[in-house]
Amino acid sequence: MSDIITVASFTLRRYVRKPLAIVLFIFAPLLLFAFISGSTMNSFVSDVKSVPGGTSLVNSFIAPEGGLETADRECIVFMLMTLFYFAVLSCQSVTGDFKNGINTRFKACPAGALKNIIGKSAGSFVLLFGFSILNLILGKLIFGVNFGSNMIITIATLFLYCIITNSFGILLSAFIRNIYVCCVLDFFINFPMMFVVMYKIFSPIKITPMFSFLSAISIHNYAFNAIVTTEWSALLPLLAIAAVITPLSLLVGRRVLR
Amino acid sequence: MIVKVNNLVKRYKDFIAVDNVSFEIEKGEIFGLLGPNGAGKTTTISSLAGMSKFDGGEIRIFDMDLKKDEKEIKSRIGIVPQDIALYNDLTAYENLCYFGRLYGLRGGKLKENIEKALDFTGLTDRRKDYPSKYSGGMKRRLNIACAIVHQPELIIMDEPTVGIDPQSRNHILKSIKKLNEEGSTIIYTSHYMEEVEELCSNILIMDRGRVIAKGSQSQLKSLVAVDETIDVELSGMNFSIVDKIKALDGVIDCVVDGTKLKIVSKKQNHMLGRVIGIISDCAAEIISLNVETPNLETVFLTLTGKTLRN
Repeated sequence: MSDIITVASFTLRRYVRKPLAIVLFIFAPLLLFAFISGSTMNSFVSDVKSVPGGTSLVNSFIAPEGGLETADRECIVFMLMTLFYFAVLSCQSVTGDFKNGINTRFKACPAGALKNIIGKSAGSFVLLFGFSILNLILGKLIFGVNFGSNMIITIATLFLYCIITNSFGILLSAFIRNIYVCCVLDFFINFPMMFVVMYKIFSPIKITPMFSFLSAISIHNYAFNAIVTTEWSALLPLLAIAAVITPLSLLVGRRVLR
Repeated sequence: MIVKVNNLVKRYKDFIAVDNVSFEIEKGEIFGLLGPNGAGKTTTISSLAGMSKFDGGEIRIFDMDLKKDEKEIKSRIGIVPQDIALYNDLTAYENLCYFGRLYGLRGGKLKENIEKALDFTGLTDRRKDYPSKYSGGMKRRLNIACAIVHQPELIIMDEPTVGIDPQSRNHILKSIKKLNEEGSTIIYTSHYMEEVEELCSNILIMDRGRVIAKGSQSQLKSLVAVDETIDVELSGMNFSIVDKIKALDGVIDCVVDGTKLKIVSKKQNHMLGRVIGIISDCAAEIISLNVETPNLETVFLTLTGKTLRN
């Protein structure tokens, strides 16, 4: 256990010193919150009651779930998006060790590869969850963002979402040991997953089969639904994904580091 | 006997990287592992340090089987990897703290060992600096410090002086001798023959995954038939000199290249005096003279047909 704590604490210490991490995961979401809360017209729905043809937009354009306004929902999606980019830092914790030769030293240590990967994963997770809570607090205090009416569910959602994101990063790095390729892949996966949620927020058109499929595989969508609906049952898909991806990432990561 | 390797075999699919390698290392010695690139040195070292699984044979370290007591053995070994393996975003002190803790050190013992390692490598004044601010030589020294922070009984050094300035190299070589004097057994690999000659009491020469020679330096040198090579540049060169030198007892070959002569002779014939005598008798003048006695490079060249840096 002490080896895991050592690896986790030093992983944490290393990432806190990376200015890019602070900028990307604290200032970037705040910038987006500022932009969204300052620009979105929440009165838009009430002003536009219908379009030619008589279709009511009130319920299809922006569904009034959980009492969240458009800007709040956008902030939630953008927070999820920036947090998902954290997978890159989790990747870095593994690929970096290959690049700088640290893995050779680790292999010679009495602490095994499993402890190493659990430690790295734990360190990355703590930082990611810390960032998400900080986003939550700063977003609420500074910009008055409504992150759902049940804060416990919101925090639980972020907790599971961070576990999944972190495990995804570890898994990605285990297969692709190049941090640049990991970055690009993370972007390509993140964007459609985020886009499908944005589509649901804005589009008056009924969801297409392609977007229906994307919704089904979008972690962002499950996290968003859980926060917006404030139902405990909405956490189940995230719980199931976390239960599968976390042990998988640790096992694959151990295999790679060994 | 601190290390005993019996018929070690390591394969990568169809390629045999280490082929039935056997050797023994006594406690307290500096053991040299020599070979060109691809000889199997690093693979052998990786197997010894428990970093990679081997396919056949047996490795016993500290009288324990590596496969059965891997954790215990690893805790008593320190490895200096070929590449500098440091975290650039942790200070020198933190790097040492990290690796010390991974070897189970805590509290006062950890601090004490870190201080010793820093002092030993001459980095005490730069303890709070990040390795990215270090010179190449200092990084190499910190690389060594990370390997010795837990005070291992066996230290494996895989080319620890690659790419550094002579001053840092001397510092590292002195450190290795000091470590050995303090009781550590050291396995040392290098491309630099002069380092191995200076440090190692026993040497194993590998090529293409196999052991081609092993023993003390004198034992290895005795394997080579050629003892002396004399290179001499003359003014007033004539063929009677060449004929007379060739006629000397013990001369294997005498080659003329313009004004230069290359004389290869058998061992212990004290050829130099006799060659100089012939040259002065023939009224020629020596411009330059160089005598080469066999060294490990000669041994290596003779046994493998290639130079060590090939």
